[in-house]
Amino acid sequence: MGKRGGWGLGRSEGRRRPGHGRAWRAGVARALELPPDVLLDLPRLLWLGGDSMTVENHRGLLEYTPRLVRIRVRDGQVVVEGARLTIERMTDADISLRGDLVAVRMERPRGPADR
Amino acid sequence: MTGRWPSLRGYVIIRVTGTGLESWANRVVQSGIPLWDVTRPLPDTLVARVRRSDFPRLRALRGRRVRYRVLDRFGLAVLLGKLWRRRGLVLGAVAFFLAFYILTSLLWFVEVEAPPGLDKQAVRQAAVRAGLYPGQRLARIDPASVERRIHMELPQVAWSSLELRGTRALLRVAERPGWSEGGEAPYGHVVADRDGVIVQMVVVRGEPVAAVGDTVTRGQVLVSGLLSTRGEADARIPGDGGVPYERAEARVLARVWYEEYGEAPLVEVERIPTGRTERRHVLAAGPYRLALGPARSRFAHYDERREVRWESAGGTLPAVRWETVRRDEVVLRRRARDETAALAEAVEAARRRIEARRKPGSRTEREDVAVLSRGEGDGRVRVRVLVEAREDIGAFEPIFMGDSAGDGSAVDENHLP
Repeated sequence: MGKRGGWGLGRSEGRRRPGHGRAWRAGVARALELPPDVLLDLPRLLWLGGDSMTVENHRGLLEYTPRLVRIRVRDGQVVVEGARLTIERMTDADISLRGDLVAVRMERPRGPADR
Repeated sequence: MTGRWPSLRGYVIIRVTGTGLESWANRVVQSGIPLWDVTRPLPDTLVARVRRSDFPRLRALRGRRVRYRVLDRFGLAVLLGKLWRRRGLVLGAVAFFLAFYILTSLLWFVEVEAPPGLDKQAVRQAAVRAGLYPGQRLARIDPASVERRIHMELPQVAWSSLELRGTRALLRVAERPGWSEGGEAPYGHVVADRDGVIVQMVVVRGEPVAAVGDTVTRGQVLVSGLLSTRGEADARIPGDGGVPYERAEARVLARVWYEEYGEAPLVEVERIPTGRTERRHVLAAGPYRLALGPARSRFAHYDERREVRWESAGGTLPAVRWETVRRDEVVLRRRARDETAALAEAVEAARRRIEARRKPGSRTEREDVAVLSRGEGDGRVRVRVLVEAREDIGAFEPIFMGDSAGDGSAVDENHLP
């Protein structure tokens, strides 16, 4: 919102800057007090106890071994480490993991081109 | 698992081998096919479950780098398919369980445990009348009512217990103390077994409590077997073996009246066979019957005859019987008959009924016949026959030790001096 993003009708500024749409949606979410993950397609991680995790709004499975699962999300990758990891359920909307979960981390790329 | 419904509709366990398995999984889920229970046993192998209905679509997503192999199929649809291929087996199993259910819901064996003095056959017959017999449905057996019936029918039974053990019934009875075989109880009274007026009394043993000329009613004590009723009893109490009773014995002749009614038609119906017959076969096992042939006859009038063609030995198993019912068609012809003959038949019918009620050795003193109707209204003559007889009305009734019923024959030892 404000000067930079405007209301998304920034045609007068000529060519769109990268991240322009996203900033606009973030502004709408803030203005309407909506949860940002709904509008911005942000990943949601639900970690239940020590043996179950669900990753919503994923963008694909990058790597899967019994010790490591790498899932592409917007703005980076979710890396789950553990032992005896299995994919309990996988759809185009979410991935549920089960196993002895040890660590979860978010890896972000350096530049916008990596997104 | 993605909910319960895949189990119902069926799912397939597949093994996917090759390279780029993660991108394969992404392609699959992006095309709307969920995967579940995905494991990676080897670096180049994934094992996953997919819905049975989705499996054909997987072929198009295979690509060049992966291969599929079906490891197993599950679910209700798969199970039904397997069962359909083995429908003979399924039918056999259903028939087996049905037969098992039916056979285990019936009583197969009745065992009677009785002391040597008691007639097991009599106990068994009383049990049959109470509904306890092989082939009876277990649900219809009420142990309490069977026990009650046995007590009612067999006074010599002091205690009975019916135990149902699966398809077997164990009926245990105990003899009443003091009751010996053939009704030869050691102690008892002589009571009147019918109403009458006493004309003669010969007392062999016991104390007379009725006299010649008395009008007595059924059940009334005529000669007492209780020693304490005697005036000079002091010398004899207690009696033999320390018991204050004895076995009363007497011959009590009384005038007894019997009244019966008889009737006969004035029009005789003659049944003339036409020669046409029909048959019906019945196969009976216990309470179940299977009949072949017409249940209702096509004849308006017929005589029916039953002939048992074959019957199993019975015993502990339900008796199986094959019988043929033969119906011979008849035509009815009405013929008027003589009134005297009809009256005689009516009197004879009434006499037969009286005869059935009289005791052996009964002597007729007088007989009165009253004609009630000569067929004015409905073509039937009716008579009433009154017979005055002279017979021994004494009957022995045993005294049971420890009985507390107040019927005159029961004596509690506490009541004695």
